[in-house]
Amino acid sequence: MKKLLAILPGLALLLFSALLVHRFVEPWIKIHWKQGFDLLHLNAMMLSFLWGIVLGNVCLRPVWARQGVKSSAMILKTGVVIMGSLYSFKEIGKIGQTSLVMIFFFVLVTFFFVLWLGKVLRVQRSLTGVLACGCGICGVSAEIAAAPLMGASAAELAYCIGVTLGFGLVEVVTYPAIGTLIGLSSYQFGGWAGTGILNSAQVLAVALAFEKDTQGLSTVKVSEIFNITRVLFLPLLILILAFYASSHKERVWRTDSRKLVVEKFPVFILGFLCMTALTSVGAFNAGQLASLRSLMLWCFSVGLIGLGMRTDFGAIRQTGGKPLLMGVSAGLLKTMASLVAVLLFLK
Amino acid sequence: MSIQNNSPPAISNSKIEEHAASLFRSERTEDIVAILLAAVLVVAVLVGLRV
Repeated sequence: MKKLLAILPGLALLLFSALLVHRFVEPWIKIHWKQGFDLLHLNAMMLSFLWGIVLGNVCLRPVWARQGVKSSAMILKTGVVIMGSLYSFKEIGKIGQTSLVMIFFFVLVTFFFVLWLGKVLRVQRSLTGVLACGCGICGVSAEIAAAPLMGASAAELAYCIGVTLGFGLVEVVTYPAIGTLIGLSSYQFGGWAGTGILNSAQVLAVALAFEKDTQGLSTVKVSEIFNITRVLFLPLLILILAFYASSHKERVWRTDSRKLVVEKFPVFILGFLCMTALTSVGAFNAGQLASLRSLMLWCFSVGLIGLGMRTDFGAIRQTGGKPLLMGVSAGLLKTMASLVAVLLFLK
Repeated sequence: MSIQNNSPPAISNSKIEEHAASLFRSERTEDIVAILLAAVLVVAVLVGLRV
């Protein structure tokens, strides 16, 4: 109960900010800066994220709001679970086939590329392993999962998170504009964002910013299938990392592979699939689906403000040297190669 | 600024494990709470909430 009460002030700040962005800021930009709205995709979602960054870095994260802001990651995940109601299993199967091939390739290539680069640059194996996992799969969550396995220190984990989020920030701002300039379709852009962007929450931010189909949410739907596919690779990569760590005689936190896979499985995906199952059996009528979609978008807006507030420029500035070089190289490789793959194979 | 030049503060191994494990535990809790919150919202919509 005490924990719940601690969350409320921050949550109220996020909700109030989301209302402000949706009711006043977005309509104002639409009227007074149409170019910014069209090219830079300054819609309510992008503005939520940017507003969060301003709140978190200029207003220095008010202490009374800290717990509520922390809970924003959970609210983003709630939105993703509800999002399951927008799909049918047929649709997931159709997009999933393509995403599986692309993600399998890009996850492994990025992962081994970072391990190789770490070896060449002689960066600590623990830091390299954590960063390889983060760049290969879904950013922060993967890094948190890999840290105990590699025996990484809290400071190394913070470095890796800073590198991933720092590069992701650049991606959030540039992806929608590049996508518009080269004329990517919703399907292509969703595939590109879901494969190329390093961090899961930033995939969502970019796809929501680019979204043109406000009813069908086609970009967001495609990007999230790609993103979920790569998140599902987390247990596999953790297993490879366990072998990598043990082969170098480093201390492995736990070596029971079955236990490792179960422990690292991203549970929220089960909720997402339950929602898809409910939609597939016709549990919701059109009105209810519309309400679920609105609730989902509010969850995303609130979550993105929180994500922006948790983007700490001070911490990002501290990352540098070889870890930054590794993260940026992996991010650029993934971004460019996935763009080529999307242009070639996703029509 | 390379990480080699900026050694992280010395923390004992057990504390490192504890820190990383607690972060992951909170991710798992976050997942479960997210599912429960989504379930509450879905029930609310099913009983008539319109947004």
